[in-house]
Amino acid sequence: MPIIVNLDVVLAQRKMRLNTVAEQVGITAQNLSILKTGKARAIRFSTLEKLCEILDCQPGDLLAYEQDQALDSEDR
Amino acid sequence: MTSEAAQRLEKVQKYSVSFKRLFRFLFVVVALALVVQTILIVTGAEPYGSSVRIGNTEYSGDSIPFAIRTIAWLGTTLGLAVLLKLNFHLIKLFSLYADGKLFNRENVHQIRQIGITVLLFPALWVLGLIVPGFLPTDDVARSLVSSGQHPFTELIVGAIIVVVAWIMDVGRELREEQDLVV
Repeated sequence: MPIIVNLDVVLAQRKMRLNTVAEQVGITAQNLSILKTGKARAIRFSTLEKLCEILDCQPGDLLAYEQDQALDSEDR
Repeated sequence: MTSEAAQRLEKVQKYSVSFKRLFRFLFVVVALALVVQTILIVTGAEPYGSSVRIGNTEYSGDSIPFAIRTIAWLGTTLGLAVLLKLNFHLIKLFSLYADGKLFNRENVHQIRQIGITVLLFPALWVLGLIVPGFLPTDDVARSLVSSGQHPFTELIVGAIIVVVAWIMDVGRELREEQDLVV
């Protein structure tokens, strides 16, 4: 998928645990893990907003777009 | 999950355990029937001593040829085997319900298999009509017996179950897609 989720990077930078962040966001750790491992199909703005609030970051810190991956998926 | 939903799930699980036991019991009964009818046909004991039936054709006489007796056994065995298969899938389905798994890939697979199994009854009925035409009848009397039963109900019910399983599969995929929305 061309959208890369850098949640694990931001968690490491903030020295925060997934379970703690999940609890504060109000979703299950399993759901947040789905996002972290790049398996999520979509993210709600409300979830993104809470993540940015708790991790004190911008959406661009959590999400990135890689053109090479997008072209690869188009070729397929 | 709300407490009301949890209670309803618990009720479903409780009844599913009972249904699972019921179908397990029926499975054993059908399996025993299979063994008993095998013994009766092979030994030529009553009620199979003087006549056997294949589909709508009844063969009677003092000594029914082994080939006809074997085909009759095969036909009855296939019928009971289809019943066993149906019970097997019902046991699997209600086991999943008893475990609280109400709507997933395995459930849909079992429902689809139930539909396919029900469709096997009309297939066997057609086979029962065709096969007697190929059997030798030199030393045995043959007569047509009309039971008045036709498997159209099983055909329609089986087809509907298969279509419903297909639609459920699409629903399951959509639900799994939603589960991946964070």
